[in-house]
Order: sequence, then C-alpha cells, then structure tokens
Amino acid sequence: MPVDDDVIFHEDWERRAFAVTQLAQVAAGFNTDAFRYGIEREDPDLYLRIPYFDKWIRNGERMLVEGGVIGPTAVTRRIAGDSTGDAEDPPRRTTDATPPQARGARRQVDTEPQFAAGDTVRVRSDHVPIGHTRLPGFVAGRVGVVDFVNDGWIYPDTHAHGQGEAPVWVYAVRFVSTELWPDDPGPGHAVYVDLFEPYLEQS
Amino acid sequence: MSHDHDHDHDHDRHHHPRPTDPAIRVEAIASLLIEAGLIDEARIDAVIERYETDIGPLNGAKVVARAWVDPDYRQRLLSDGTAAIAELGFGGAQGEKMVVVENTDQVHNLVVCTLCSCYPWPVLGLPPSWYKSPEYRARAVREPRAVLREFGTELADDVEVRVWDSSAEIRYLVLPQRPAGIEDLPEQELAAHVGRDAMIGVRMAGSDQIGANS
Repeated sequence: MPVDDDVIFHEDWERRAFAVTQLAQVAAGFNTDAFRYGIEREDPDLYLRIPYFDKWIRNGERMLVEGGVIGPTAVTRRIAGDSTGDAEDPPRRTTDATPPQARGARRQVDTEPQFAAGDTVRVRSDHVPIGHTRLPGFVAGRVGVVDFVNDGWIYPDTHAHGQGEAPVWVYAVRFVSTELWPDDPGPGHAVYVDLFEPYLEQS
Repeated sequence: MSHDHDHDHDHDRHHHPRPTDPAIRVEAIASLLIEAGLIDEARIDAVIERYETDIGPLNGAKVVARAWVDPDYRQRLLSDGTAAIAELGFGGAQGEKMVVVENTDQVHNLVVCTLCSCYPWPVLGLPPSWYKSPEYRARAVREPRAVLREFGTELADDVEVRVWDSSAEIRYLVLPQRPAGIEDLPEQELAAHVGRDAMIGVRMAGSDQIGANS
C-alpha cells in the first residue's frame, strides 16, 4: 500500500490536468455519469499503469471529441505541431448524456421503496448494463441486509448514456466478509455498499 | 521451444510503448479550448485554487471538533450529516448527501471507493494519491485490518470493522474517537488534532499527519 504517497498533486501538470479536464467536461456538455463511463473505457492495460491524472486528461480529450467540440484527431495534430484546421476532421457529437436540468443527483422517486431496513436482499448476478454501471463486481450474486434506505437518485446506468434520469431508490446494504469471501473471509468485517434498486432482488 | 528471455522487462516494454507525455496533452487541449474561446487561463487557475486551497480537511476537522464538544451537535451530525455539516457552512459538489459514521470502542469505520475515487470534497478537499490507487480500492474491502496496520493502526480483535464503499452519490465521513489527554482543549484547538486520515478512517485522531493537504 503506497501509504506515503499522500499528496493530491505530484507535479504541476496534474494540477492543470484536473482543472482543464473539469472545464472540458463542462465545454463538452456531459454529466458526471458519462464522465465516469469515459474513464472506464480507458485501455485496461493503460488504466492500471498510467498516472491518475493522465487518465483524467485522456478522458477530457474523449469528452471533447464525443461532445463534438473538437475533431477526433485535433489533439494529436496539435501535439505534432500540425496547424491544419478541422476541415478534414469535423467535430461531431456522438453521444448525448447532457448534464441534469435540476441541481444535484438526488431525486423524488414516484414508487415506494421495494425494500426496507432489515430486509435480506441478493445482488443480481444477471445485471447487464448498457455500458456504465455502479454495481461493484465483488458483490454480484451476494446476499446482504439493507441497513438503511439512502434516498432516491438519478440512475447512472441510463443517465451515462443519455437515456434519462430514471430515478430509483438507493440502499446501503451490509455484507459480511464470510458471505463475500467464504473461502478466506479473514478475521471478519462488514462492507456497506450503496446499491441502486434495479441491482437487487428479494432473497 | 526455446525461451531465452534474459531481458523480460525490456521485452515487456516493447509491447507497451509509453503513451504521450500527459503534460503535453494537457497543454494541447488547453490551447485548443482557449483558442475556441471556451476557457481562459484565469478560469483554469480559479478551478485549481478552489479545490486545492479553498476546501480541505480543515473543514472536516471543524465538524469533528464541534461534535466532540457539543453532544447535541454530535447527535444532529449522526442523524443528518448533510444538514449538520451545512450548519458550519460546508456543502456542495461531491457532498450532496453526507452520512457520518462514528468510531467507538466497539466499531471502527473505514471509507473507500472501489469503483473510482469518490470522496467527500466539501469536508476533506481532493483525495490523496493512495486513496485513488488500485491497491487501496481493492484491499480496503478485502482485508481492511491489514490495510489499517500498514497505516500504523492496530485494532483490538473484538472491534468490528465496517468498510463503507462510496458506490453511489452518498459520501461518508468518519467521526473519529476523541484522543485521551486533550479533553480540556477548546474547540478551535481540538480541530488541530483531527487529521484527514482519521476522517477517512485509516488512522486514529491525534496520530495522523495533521493538516495533511497537498
């Protein structure tokens, strides 16, 4: 564990990558879920070995291209010192996951919560997302107990793809380590995971 | 078949060319956006200042110190973290709903984001590098006691460890135990004993790098 690596930014470019990427996301007109989905589409090998803020700025470029702010080769050409315009490489918006009209991500949900505190639930093992999801793989198929209902929220699985806010209930679900890792649970601990209602089924 | 790989590491490197220097990419993108009139240098500087200077773990430390001296505030903080934190003027992006979890003699809480790097910005600022590392993200849920030991935090065997995975938009703050021996300090001085790592849950209050920020 790199416990001594406890700075926010190591070098000045990281500071600028943070700010430029945030501003690029705004310029591209994408919501937070679409931003996270962009990072998730990083090449898996690069994801594990390049610096955190390198993943950010590469996603900043991805957002600008997919948002139709710049052409697909604009940054590569700029780095190469090629000053030709975008005529051969026109910007074109390819996905439409715009920011919410209302502030924040917490929303009214029209239906009653399907589960209550104390209910035993199973995380679906057959959840197939369009692309983005906030279902952590290590709880898929596992049984836990609802600790508390954690309000209604925009559903990231649709919102990241421009398919609507579709707000649903979120539950803080408690899993014990013997359920998560039955073969090697360690001395015992509990993991609480915030899960969207479509990820869960009655157990 | 012969495998004569005396230079396995070099061999691997040939298959994984180093990508473009990220500093060059940052400036290429910045220049394109500036030329398009979409951003300017002042806005870049303003974003950096807002998140590196204006917010940070001192905000969370003030919340914890208040909870240590004021039992009514502590109760409000544990029942509605968002509202109690807003009483001290803190809130905003990545803190839309705050849940505060309390460490006791029986329970020790630890916060992680296994899916990315979610973190309660309004009370702690931006996360330290280790919090965003694949190692912490994987091991905090798998073997939290081993992770805590690497931070120098030893727990008694009968303490229940609770790990909170920030997998949705709710953000978690640990209310650490008040260290012995500083009971008589006023609230403002108590805040100086509350470091960032104690509010993530990897260290005890009074034992971490006070004011660790950047």
